[in-house]
Amino acid sequence: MNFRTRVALAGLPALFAFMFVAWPLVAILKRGFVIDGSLDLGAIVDIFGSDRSRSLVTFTVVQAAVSTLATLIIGLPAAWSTSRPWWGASLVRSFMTTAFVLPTLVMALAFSTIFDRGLLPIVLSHAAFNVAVVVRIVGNAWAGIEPGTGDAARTLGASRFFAWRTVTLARLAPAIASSAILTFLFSLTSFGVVLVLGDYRQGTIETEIYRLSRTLQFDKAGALAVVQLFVVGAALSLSRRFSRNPVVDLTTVQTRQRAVGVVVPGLAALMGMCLVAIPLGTLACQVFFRRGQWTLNWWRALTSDELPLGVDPLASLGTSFHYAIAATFVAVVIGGATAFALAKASRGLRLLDGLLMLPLGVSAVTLGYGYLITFDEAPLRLRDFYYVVPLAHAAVAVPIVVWVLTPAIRGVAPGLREAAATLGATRAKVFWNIELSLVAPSLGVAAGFAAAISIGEFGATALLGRSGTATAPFAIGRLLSVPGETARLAAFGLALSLALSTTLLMLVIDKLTTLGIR
Amino acid sequence: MTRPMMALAVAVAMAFGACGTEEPSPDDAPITVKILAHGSWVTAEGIFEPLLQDGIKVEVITSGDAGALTNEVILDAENPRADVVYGIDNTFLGRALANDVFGVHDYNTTGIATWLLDGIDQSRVVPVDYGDVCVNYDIRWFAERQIAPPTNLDDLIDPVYKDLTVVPDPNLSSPGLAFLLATVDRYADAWDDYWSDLNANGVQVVDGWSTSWYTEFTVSGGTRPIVVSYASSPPADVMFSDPPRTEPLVAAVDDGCFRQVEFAGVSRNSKHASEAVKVIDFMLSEAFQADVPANMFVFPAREHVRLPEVFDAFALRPTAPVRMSVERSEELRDETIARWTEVVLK
Repeated sequence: MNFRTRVALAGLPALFAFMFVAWPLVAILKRGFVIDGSLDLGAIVDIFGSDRSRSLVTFTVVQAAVSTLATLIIGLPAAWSTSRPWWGASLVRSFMTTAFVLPTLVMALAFSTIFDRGLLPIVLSHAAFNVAVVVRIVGNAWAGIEPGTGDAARTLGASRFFAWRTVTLARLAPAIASSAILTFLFSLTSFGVVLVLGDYRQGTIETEIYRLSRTLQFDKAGALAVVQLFVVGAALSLSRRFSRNPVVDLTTVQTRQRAVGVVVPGLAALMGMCLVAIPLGTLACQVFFRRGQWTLNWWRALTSDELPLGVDPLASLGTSFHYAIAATFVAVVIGGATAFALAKASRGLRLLDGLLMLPLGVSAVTLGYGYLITFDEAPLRLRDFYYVVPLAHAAVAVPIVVWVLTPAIRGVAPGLREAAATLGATRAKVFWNIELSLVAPSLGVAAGFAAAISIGEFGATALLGRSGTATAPFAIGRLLSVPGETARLAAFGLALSLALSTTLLMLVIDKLTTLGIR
Repeated sequence: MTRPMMALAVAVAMAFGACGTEEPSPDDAPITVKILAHGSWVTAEGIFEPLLQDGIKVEVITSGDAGALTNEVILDAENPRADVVYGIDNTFLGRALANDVFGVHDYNTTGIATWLLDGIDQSRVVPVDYGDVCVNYDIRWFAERQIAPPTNLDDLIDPVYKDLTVVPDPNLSSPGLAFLLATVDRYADAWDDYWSDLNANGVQVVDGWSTSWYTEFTVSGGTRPIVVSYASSPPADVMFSDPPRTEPLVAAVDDGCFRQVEFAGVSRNSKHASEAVKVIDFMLSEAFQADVPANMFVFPAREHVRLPEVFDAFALRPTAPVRMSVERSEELRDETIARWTEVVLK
């Protein structure tokens, strides 16, 4: 593709990035900084003047740091285990990746069956989500290290530890830093987990933005969202000092490491696997096994007329899938166009990339809040638009789609294109028959991730959703706030259905990965 | 390669095919009037059937509690989800009125208690029912420990009752806000000191009434024997008892009660305004008003409506509930909640 085609291709993502990322963010900044038409830092200063806000900010950062530490402690052995050639390596990878895309409310509910509200379950479920990040990034880096590298150092007289520290660790450090930064960001902006597992009084910036928006205190929410943006920005700029670009390569690198049997890698991965499996198992038990016997009552609870009016679990599942299809379509088109345009980077397009990546750090609640205050007036009163929720989902999913597609597109050998062109194929034909067909499996993987993100997304949905268009996570939220055994059972059943759907999606992705991705 | 693309195309077609427009209804089919109610809406089966004679079918959708309901109605004012809004109370009505969410109509308020109508712009909203938010306690819990149950607001900060009270967050819960306003009314400028003391005495805060009553209250298996609930909670406890009981396990404290009045109005942008007015008039009629106590555990706004026996027997009639005007609540609410959040949720 020549430069002009790439710029043309970037048009649609640019429009999307402007409408659904940049504009809402500018609106938020305006709410935070501009009062009655003039620059005013009062609202921001007020935040730091209040004990509660200060403690919110502190708690947010502390829990994210502790979560990151826990994730590394559990994730590094698992990453090492997947870097060794043994039969369980791909199993561990797939299992942890499935955990990564599980709906946050499902994971939170699963941990709530074991723990009381508090810091510990928050940290553990953040770790359960993010071990996959460490496994993917550090595991790939580890797998790529040639086994002979340390030997040279040792031959020259270095101690075993010194060789490991200066050779292996030095090569892993950027990967560890990347995964730590991503984990820190994800934990910083985590919402569903904190809402369900956090002590009621001890919220994070994220839950507080939600609380303030829900009670229509938009100005205070705006000021806090600005603080959130700064914290995220600070974390990101700090990350630049350690690693160029925190990118998760979702493809799997062929390992170069020597085999070390099954037992040691198995044990190393066990902690991470248990961390996910035990809470989910407990959740499943609570759904299927009640009062000492096996039961299908949860299925009846989903359709029970004892549920509050306006909460229909089955309909909400339908809405979730419907929204997931719409969000996936938008995310794949926008993300796909971006990835093709970016395959050969130029500075202007890098800016677009950066803009589209923002929702990763900005957090879904902030984005939802931005949509609420931006799409407020006719003719762009998108807030009432039936598809506003999947649009937000798509904005959150685009970065992942770009991550998945970029390496695949870059991997298409230029010779193939040129050969086809020499044989008389038109440019469109080259694109359709060569480039697109070669990245089709990756496209499938990207679509799968986008769908999983949409199905599980709760932050933006919680703010933009209405009981008439409730998604399954939204319905779970409602069900948890109403009394009664039936509602609780329905919430658990719905959570389990979501977990199963996501797992199915991941199985399909796995198939696609083995089919065609290098 | 073509297969994933085809699948994608089908998926897209499905996504957008499902949002077709509604079928136009023939002229003789009844017009559907939607009521958006708070989450505690309960009525007898088929209560709105008489309205079918006027060609009106009623569909009820629910929101959260009064606060959540008010906020949802304000956010959706331009494009309302329902024609009738029911359940905004006097603590939140000011916010709804300030945001101009109701249309102007003529309602038939004959028979409605005049003290409920006083000071209300009756062209916008009408009172449907009222109740009192009062502190409740677990009778058996205190009897078993031979501790005297609390009798007034001051008791709650007494060390004897340390770690025994749970309250809903006034940010999100209307009984929570009602209780907060009752303390403001009682302690005037020193109300935040009262809450600091409550905090020091180990008060627990939860998101809503449901959580406090069904999860934290000792009667439901929790650890707190004192909750914020309603004067009508004792009869409700008897009516819902399973296995059936004839005596309530809970009692309401006759101090610091706050009178909540719940209103109904027609959405400003309703497309069926005249039918919606008929629905509200029906909600003020004898038939609907007599149904209200046993189902929603509130008192009917209409005078001379027969109450269920269990109501007469066990509902507390507070001697001097706090009656706060819509204007006064509006003046106090936001500032009070903000201050409360600073003092209590830190």
